[in-house]
Amino acid sequence: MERVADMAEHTRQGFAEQLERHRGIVFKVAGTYCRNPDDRAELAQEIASRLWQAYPRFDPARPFSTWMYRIALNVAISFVRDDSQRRRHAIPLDDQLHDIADPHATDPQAEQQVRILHRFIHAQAPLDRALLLLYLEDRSYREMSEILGISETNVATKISRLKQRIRNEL
Amino acid sequence: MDTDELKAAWQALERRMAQHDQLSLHLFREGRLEKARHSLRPLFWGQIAQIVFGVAMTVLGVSCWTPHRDLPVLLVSGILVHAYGVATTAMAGITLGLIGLIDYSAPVLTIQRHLARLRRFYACNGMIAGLSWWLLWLPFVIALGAVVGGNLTPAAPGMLVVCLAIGIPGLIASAWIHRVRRRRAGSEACFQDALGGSSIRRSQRVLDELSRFERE
Repeated sequence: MERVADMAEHTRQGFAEQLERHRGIVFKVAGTYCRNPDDRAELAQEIASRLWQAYPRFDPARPFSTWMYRIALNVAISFVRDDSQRRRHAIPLDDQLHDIADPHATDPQAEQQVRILHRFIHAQAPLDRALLLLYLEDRSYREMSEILGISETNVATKISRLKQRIRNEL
Repeated sequence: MDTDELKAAWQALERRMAQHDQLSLHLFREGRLEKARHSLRPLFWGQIAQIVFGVAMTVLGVSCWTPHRDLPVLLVSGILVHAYGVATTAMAGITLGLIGLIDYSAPVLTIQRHLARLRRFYACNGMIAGLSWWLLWLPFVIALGAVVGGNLTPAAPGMLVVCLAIGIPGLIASAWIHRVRRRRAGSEACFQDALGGSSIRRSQRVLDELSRFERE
């Protein structure tokens, strides 16, 4: 009985360490899919919960970040497709921009670029947003393909189109 | 914006989001991971409730037809209620099975497709379970009457006429409105939501979106 409790504690500790090391992924995904701080916190919590549930099946021979991205993106995409959630916390876009504004910004041009990028990210469809996030995070094509479940060639084509869209729209 | 500016803007955005999200960290540290909201939890409990309902209908159906094999009205009514109970239980069981198969650590497209199919199956399940009541109320009332001791058999022919007079136009009207509303996209929300049609439409849109994403 004591051994089982020790093992559970060990698993929990291992998970907490991994989560702490890669927690940026959770917040970046939550920030990419939710503009409202309350929604973001709720989504981050749900991602963490799903990670914890899936952790016993995690294969340590595989990269933790890839596994984490898959779960985080799957949860986030499902979350934004839940209409009631979106309606509940819907607030005007300008108010949402206050949330990411830096009151001490010294470079107006850089500040403007952050706002434009924020708008651009949230204007993308859920799947395109996943691709954009992975691109901004400098993930390799191979990793993107493993996370999304499409071929590397397909990833390359999509990234090239995404870059073109960025050039045109930003 | 060139690539360097884009990456710089992303890093700035990332830092700001991290500042705002510091508060969320205490949830991880306090070990409250199990308490998070799960979007599929209401669906799960809804299916459990459907199974309980389905089993109750099966019991009612069996209790009606087994002791009255010599009375065609009670035999047919009982079998219909029994069949409905079994079908409802089976559909809820399949939905629960589909929920159980969800592994969020699978690739994004695989899981999103699985979720869209689950949503579609669930919506069809709801439509079949609900619409059949246009006609099922009659065998249900007769079966219930037989089980609680009231014999409605003598009134059955008259009730059957009423049931068909209401049920068949009701079903035709439901199908017709569903079709008309489907043609007029945009104004169909209320009725189709009531029928579960919006869920089917939404899941189909997601499946189309996934196929497009994969193809393009």
